[in-house]
Amino acid sequence: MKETAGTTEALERLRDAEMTPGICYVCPWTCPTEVYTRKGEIVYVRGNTRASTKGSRCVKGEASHVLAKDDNRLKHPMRRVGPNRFERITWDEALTQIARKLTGIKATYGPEAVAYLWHVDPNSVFAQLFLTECYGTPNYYGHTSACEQDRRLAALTVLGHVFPVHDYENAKFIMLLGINMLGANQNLFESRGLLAAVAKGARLVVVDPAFTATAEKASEWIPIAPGTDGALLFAMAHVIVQDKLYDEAFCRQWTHGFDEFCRHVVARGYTPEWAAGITDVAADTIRRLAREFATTRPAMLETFKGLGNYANGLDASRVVYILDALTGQVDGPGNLILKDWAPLQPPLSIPEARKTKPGKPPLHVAMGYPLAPDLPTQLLPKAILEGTPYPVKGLFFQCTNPVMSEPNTALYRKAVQALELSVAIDTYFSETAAECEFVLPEASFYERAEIRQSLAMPPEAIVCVPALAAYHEARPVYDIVRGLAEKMGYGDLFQWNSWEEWGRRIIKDLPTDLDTLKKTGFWSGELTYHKYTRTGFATPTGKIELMSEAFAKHGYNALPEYRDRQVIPDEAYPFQLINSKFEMHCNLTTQNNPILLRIRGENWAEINTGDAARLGIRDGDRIEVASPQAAVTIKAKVRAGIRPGVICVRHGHGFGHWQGIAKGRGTHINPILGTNVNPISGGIGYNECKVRIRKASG
Amino acid sequence: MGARGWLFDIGKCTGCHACEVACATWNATGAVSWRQIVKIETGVYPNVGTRNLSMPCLHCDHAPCLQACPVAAITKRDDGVVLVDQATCVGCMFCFWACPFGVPQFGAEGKMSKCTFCADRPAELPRACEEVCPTKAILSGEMHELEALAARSGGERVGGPAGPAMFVIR
Repeated sequence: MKETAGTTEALERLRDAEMTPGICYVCPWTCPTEVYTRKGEIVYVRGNTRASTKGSRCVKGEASHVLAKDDNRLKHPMRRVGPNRFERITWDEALTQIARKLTGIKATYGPEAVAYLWHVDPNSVFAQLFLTECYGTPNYYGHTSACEQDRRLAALTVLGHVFPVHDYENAKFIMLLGINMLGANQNLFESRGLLAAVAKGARLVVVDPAFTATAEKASEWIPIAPGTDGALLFAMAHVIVQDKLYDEAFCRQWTHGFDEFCRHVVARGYTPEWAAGITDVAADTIRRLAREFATTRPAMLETFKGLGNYANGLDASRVVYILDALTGQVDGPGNLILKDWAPLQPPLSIPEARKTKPGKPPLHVAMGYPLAPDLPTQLLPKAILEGTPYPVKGLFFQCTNPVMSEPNTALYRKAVQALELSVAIDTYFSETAAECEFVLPEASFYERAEIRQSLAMPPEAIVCVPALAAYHEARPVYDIVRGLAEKMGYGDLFQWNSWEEWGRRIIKDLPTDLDTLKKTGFWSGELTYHKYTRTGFATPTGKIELMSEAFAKHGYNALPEYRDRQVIPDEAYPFQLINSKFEMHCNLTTQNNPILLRIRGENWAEINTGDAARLGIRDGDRIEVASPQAAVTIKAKVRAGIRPGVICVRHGHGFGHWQGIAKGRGTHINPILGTNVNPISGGIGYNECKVRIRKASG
Repeated sequence: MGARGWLFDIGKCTGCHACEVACATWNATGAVSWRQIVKIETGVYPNVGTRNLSMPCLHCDHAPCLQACPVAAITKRDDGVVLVDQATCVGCMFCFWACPFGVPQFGAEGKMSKCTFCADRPAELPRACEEVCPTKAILSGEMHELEALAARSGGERVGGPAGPAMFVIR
């Protein structure tokens, strides 16, 4: 690998440009970047060459400079005056009217009737401080229920960590279930590490009904029956328990419920033979995988969103981490890393005397999901339309488009329309914004400042220095929130002359200063392993919980159980619909990108070669995909790399007509999905859908 | 300086297109792309395999494009890099027919353009495609160095009479 660190000045000279360290916010993985600008325009962007990215960038991030000048972006605040009709208003009008409505809702229903949703969270900490501490609503939430909600709750429950990362490079056996590391472009240092491990001879086993970009690089692809990963995992546990392949010393010292879990998997009869009948993976294969995993050091078993796409994904995800724990493969080299966070402070503090205490529990608790790590967003329409568990009258949507991204499109649209106050804060117009009363233009990550945690293995803080001047009237969230605070009597708490003022407060405990960070873009601490030997695990017992005390306390099964997924294909609807993302897209910022659309103009549904032949479908044909709820048409991609009986739709296309060149490209699949929510985590079961397909007429 | 070229590790390429976009940004290629990305799936379920290719100009030793150009718009630098002078190019596309790899591109103005090996970047810097590649599947350098690196991983030079300046690790 050619060294990239230290080449910044050379690039600046070559392009007569200035480098500004940034953070790419196209997706939530927030890679640190180097943004090269000349005369106020971006000439080049690459990953931060000194940070863990080592210069790398994914395709959607690399193409994102387009948004700096995209004429389709939101340019000024707007107010809805009718269906698809908006009028331009000033910031002062917008903030005055939103503040008035916030005051009215609080007086009539209480502050809890207002919620704030974000997808990627640029600066939303300011909104969090204002809404949760000053205004008094506990309802500040992200998008996790549409993503890795089950994985997150599993990691919290078993390991006491919200977001394990991965030391792939040092692993010798890696088994991935429902996570397409290389195709989804997540942590780029992890992609590099995974392939470096494979090049060094590590065994990579990918369990997925689709032959993903990660499966391409695997030593072994297990095209498991969709939504049955839990059975495979339980059977691996059964083998490890029966053959005593666990690390008993580790388990006795660091886990809670070891004996109970061992007895449980045996008593339940979770044998490889049992699992073979469910998963369509041979019992001998399961036995071999269990032994390989348990006897290879270091090893790693991991999942992400995939398992959580089914109603049974939470317990399956728990068993992933339980297996890592049984074999003692936690937080060491080549393992899952329970990363330390950089010691960052809030950008400002609200004095106790000025705080408003919420009178009601947060929505997720009131909804009956006390352990949910994020709001079960599929239940928001019920709160809005029926007032259950309590009324929601006002919603902010920051960089999130649930009308498109959630199942049950029509219901979600109706719910947004029924709100008394609805505010979209985004860089682009969206299907959700189209139903909102107020639409506020947000500055992009090239035009605003931020300091936040990175997802590198060591504790690391990353800095986004504004590289460009403001885009028309677009404002960063910190300025929008300051404006609202001023209108509502909290202006004195949200004052600063420049972002550096609150920036210095955020980093006051870091052994560096802001001037240095503004040059380097990041601060990185020391990577340490086996941190639990000093701190224990952040669970109720301080140990890894094979048996969960929190689950028991809330009346759930303390030990994980295998259950079938909820929706099983039948004669009328013989295919399981699954979904996966394109490496090209995330959120609204990529949808109208001419570079990305030139590379791949529309999405498709993948169908096995044999299934396609039987149905007379050829590659590129348009097909109708119908669920019991609705039908859509989409381009077919006929391939060998998909399990028979499964239709895999790539999402990220089919967005509205209002978005310039994205108009009319591809298919939006969510209208055919029904509501399916995990009863404990609140995660959305996107793959709980059976469909029938046929060649579309005409 | 000796001839320069590429070392491409197929095993590390995921076909993600990041190199293509970085190239287009650094070189401001507009509507044309100087890297062609190909993903080929082979086999019968469940025995499936994939080959990903990211194809730049291979800056051949005996560049057929150069030989085919009727107006001598194409030249080869001392370091082996093959360049086209757009002011001289007449857009006849003879180079396109001559190139075994379909490299030459023609934008709206009808002149040939292609990978310049990031001509303005000093040799000690990585090429744009190379530096953004998430998995470091692309390496540029002097051919004798790349040959040694390729040999270590069982890589081979791309064959053919044109003498393409690229080693591939499968």
